[in-house]
Amino acid sequence: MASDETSGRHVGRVTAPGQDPDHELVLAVLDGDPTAYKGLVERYQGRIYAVCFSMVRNPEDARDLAQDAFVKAYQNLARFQLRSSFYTWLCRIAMNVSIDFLRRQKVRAAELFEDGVATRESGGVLSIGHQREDPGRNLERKRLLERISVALDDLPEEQRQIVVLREIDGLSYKEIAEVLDIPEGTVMSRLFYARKKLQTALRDQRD
Amino acid sequence: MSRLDPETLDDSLDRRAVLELAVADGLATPDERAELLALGGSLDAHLPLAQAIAELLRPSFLPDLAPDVMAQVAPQQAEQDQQLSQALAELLAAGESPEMAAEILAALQLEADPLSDLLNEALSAPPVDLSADIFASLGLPASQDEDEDEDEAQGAEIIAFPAPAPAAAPAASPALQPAANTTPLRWRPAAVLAMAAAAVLAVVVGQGQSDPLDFQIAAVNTVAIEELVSGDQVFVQVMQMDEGAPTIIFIDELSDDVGGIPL
Repeated sequence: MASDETSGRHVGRVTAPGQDPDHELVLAVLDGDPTAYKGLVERYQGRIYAVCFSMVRNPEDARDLAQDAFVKAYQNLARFQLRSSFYTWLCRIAMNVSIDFLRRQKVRAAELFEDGVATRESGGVLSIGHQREDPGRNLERKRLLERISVALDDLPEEQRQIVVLREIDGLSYKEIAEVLDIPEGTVMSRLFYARKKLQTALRDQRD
Repeated sequence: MSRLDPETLDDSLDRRAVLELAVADGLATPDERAELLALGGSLDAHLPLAQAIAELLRPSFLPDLAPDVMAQVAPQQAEQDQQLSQALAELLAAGESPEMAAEILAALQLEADPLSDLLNEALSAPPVDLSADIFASLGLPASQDEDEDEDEAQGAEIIAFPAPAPAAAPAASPALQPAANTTPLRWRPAAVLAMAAAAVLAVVVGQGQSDPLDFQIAAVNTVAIEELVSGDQVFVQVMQMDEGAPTIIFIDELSDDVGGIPL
């Protein structure tokens, strides 16, 4: 796949060898060395897993999704534009597979609800207790986290993505804009309003 | 606004919103922070939320995805890697290290040191209970009690001096046996004591040093004496100063003759 020279998909790319180690590995894979991809996986697996986990909040699902993202990226590597960052491209794939997963989960939850067996957890939204078991945590803290958890789940998809990319992955506005393919100003406004909603949940709890 | 690009600002955000965003994301200048405070905003309003989000969304464990991913994208290579890992694991589990010294010396264009070979051979001899044999040979009662067994179990160091003539040749090690045509040496009692002290010192000091050739100095510097015969006028004393200390054999004359002890 990657070394498919006959397709001509990566012919004419302007690259500057030595400038970006990610690009060097990508080029090595495209030149027929699939083992070079391992370097990219090892470099970004933690961040991609964290992004997937932040979106779906289930370790097993996050692992499958992160793995899926890496495999999809490999299969589409010839389409990657070497002018952009490999990570933001990979992150976009991870976001897409996570959102696809959540949408499928919602559909399934809706079906289960119609059957009268739905719970909030079965809809792919996990309770706090599933995330971090800590018997010593005081009740107030638990309630606060639960409220924020619910508020996070209630965020529109596009706002939640930005919160995850900013708060968990630490991407800049520009990088988030690149991942999501939206203007930087839109990133800022979505982030601002997402935070406002979450802060409202926080304030309500305190009141 | 030095760190926020005005060109990118969304029209939906007012000045205070932009400042709150800049403060929350660590992009605000001191002037902007002051401006936010002047507008009635807070500099740390975002902190509890950021903390809660991190606690909720950050995974506590990061798995290693590389093996599974590589098994899918490059299965042949992944299989080879697995075989290699397995082979290495088996090799390490065997617990045997290959004999590499000769190859390394050859690579360095050096020759093996015959002395180190001899020492290795001599020092690798298993420890034996010398004192019992010695006392039995001399027909003397054992001078050490139960402590001796304990010392043996701990691998007590033993320094032995050859018996006086006409004792049979000690069978400790070929490396330590005197040549057949050598002239017997005569040792003064003081010399015997000095040699014993020197030997103890040598063993103690030698244990703290590493040899450049790194051959093993055995924990037990042992000389096996199969038979020890002494003359009537010879006094033999087997001593151990402390638990775990080397065993020292003193050989001295009982007569007034100061001719020394023939070896």
